[in-house]
Amino acid sequence: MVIVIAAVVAYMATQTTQTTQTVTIGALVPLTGSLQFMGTSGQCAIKLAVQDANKMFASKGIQFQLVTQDSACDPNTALQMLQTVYSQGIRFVVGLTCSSEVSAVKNFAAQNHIVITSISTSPLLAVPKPYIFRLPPTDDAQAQVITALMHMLGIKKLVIVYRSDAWGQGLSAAIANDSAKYGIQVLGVYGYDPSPSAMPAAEQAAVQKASAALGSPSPDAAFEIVSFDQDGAAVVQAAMNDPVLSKVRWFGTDSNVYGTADIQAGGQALANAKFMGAVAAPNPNDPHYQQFAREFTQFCGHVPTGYDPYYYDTAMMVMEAIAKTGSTDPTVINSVLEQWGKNGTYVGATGPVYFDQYHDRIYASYLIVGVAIVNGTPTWISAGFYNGTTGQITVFPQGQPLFSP
Amino acid sequence: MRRDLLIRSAALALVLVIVAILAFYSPMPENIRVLLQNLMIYIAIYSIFVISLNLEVGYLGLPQFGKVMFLIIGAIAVGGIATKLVLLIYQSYLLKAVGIAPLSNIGQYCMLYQYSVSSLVNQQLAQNPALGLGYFLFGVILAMALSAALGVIFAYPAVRLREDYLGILLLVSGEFLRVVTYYATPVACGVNGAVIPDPFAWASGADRTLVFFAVTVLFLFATFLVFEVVGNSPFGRTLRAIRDAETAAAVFGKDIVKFRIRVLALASAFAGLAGALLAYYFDYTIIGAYLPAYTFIGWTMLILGGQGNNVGAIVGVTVYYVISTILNVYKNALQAALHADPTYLAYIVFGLAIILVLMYRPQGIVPEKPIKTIDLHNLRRRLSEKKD
Repeated sequence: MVIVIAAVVAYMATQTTQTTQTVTIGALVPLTGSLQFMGTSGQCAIKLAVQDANKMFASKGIQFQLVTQDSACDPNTALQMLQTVYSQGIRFVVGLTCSSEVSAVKNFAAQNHIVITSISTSPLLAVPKPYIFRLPPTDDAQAQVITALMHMLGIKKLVIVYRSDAWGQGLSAAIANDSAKYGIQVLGVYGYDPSPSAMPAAEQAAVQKASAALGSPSPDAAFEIVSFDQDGAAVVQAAMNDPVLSKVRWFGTDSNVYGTADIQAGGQALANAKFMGAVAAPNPNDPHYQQFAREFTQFCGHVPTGYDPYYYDTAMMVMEAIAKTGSTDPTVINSVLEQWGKNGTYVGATGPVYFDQYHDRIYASYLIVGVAIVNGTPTWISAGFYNGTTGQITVFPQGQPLFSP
Repeated sequence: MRRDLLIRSAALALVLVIVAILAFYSPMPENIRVLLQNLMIYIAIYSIFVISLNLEVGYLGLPQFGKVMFLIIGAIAVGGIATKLVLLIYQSYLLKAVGIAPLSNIGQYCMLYQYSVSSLVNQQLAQNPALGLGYFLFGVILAMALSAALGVIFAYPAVRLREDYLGILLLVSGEFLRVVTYYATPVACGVNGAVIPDPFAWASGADRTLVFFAVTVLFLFATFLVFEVVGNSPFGRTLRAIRDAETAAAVFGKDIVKFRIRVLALASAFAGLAGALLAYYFDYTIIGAYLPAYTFIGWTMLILGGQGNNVGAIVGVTVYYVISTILNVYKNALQAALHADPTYLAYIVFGLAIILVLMYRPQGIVPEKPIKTIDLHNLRRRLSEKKD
């Protein structure tokens, strides 16, 4: 039986390597499991990138094709899927989402020279990781932006509610640390079980604890929601009915801004609380981002949310490196990405990409996104911009009301 | 009986040797060899897991719906306890090198320093293979001991109850353990997952895979031998008697509860071994990933392969992995042909396979065979020889 399998798979591998003009890219995204909502949207962004690359590089005689596998946000599955795509001769894998998956595939990727681009953000992985590049900045960068925003708005007291996973725990800890630098007192940090089976009781319990920790509302108090969209909606619903939290400012993260569930659950309450969050993105006036957002909306049928431009860039950056060098050798592409990361050569939907020594994104700028009532409807608006190089926050005219006391 | 055992063991050993030669030394393309090597490691680990499930389900008829619990315990034993022991051994070295004593500040270690620390520990273990082996064996033995103890403790309140109550309790126990330990950082670094130092750090690249494959296959062979002996002993025959007619077995003086406890302890210990091997193989473990689906994947393998015999358990695991690998490879081609989303294709295929097997071949691919004992003629002859 083993011989038969080997023969079948060997035949299949020969088939893939014979097509010299076609380069196959693998995508490992969570199409099932807890991050399915991110993975399905991300898969669409990656498909769009492949379509764009095929138009852009048609003259060079290179065609890209995509093989997608479901990683389920499960490290065991992710490694098995990576091994499967490796057996198909694929040496470029994009879109890996969860930090636990990156942890599981790290050694296999280094050992077998597979270039991986990921949207993982955990500071735990800010270590040497050959052949793995992370397109979004780590959560530490986002924490800096959020606390700088709070400081600008005169916040002195803070309570945090976070989803208890590696991302939520890491980001809330980073926010708590950075708050101290600005003299913001963190009165309580409360986690909740983000699994759907625990919803909404777990979120309500965490919100109640945060409310009790804050005690009474004041203009210098704030409530930070470290959540994704679906679980964030349960937090919003609990907080909007809370006598203390409903009277203070709310802040979010890159994973709950633009959330449809959040705004449906309590759009008016978000607007009343002058809710703002930061998402790593180029200036919305940046032509690259505008083009991406337009194309994405047309291609995928909805506006891009937090990580969609990153998914796009995970694929596009690799394909551009392959097309421009004409090489499909992963070792060459690894060196090219390292070099591009030093010079900021690649400019994509998320702006110029610079990497540090660990292949993690640096100098990322953030768009500050908030909720305002537009024509009587709660709507996500671009309220300001955090320049990653200067550390300055620019307030857009439509965002002025959100920045007022 | 002994001859049968010898034949089956020799056949398994031969298959494993052929597979090893094919996966490591055949002239196949490297990418296919790498896939085969890793596939064989998964098959070996899950075979241990399913053979242990087979003793509970196939031999005794126990509704073991909490089997994933022992993969969790294996992960905790390795990622939570054995890893900490190694950190303790190198504590002063790590304090000098990284500036943090991992065990004194477990939260910070888990969130920020695991990879730096693990890399340093691997360098040390690479120079000290004996310590690496000790650390590996400690993790494995601990996983087996903890699994045996906890398997009995968790099932004890319901072990006297009917199958359905026991099944529900075991299912809940698995989820309970997962949720509690996943959110407790000190256990195995909680939501961050535990980075596990490599006990075979002295071997690198393909050599490391070969060493791990050899070790896993040895454990599979040992597991097969143990469960073959147990299954074909008077103890094993009593289990089948209890499964087929519990009341009749009780009438003949068999203590059902005692047999259930013994089976739970033995099978759980070996499932814990599978959990430990899985954790060492990945060099990383995150307890939140061990959803109840792992239990039901084990059941699927067992139903396909055939219950009540250990060969069927191994065949079931192999068939499952072969089908799922082929599906993964051809999924995208199928998508283009069928114009349908292939995300849930594997679930559909295995769901259908279970229904069809249960309808048309409930005994599975390898059916359970009658137990061979010494025949009556020989028994009488031996007795008369003894009298003389």
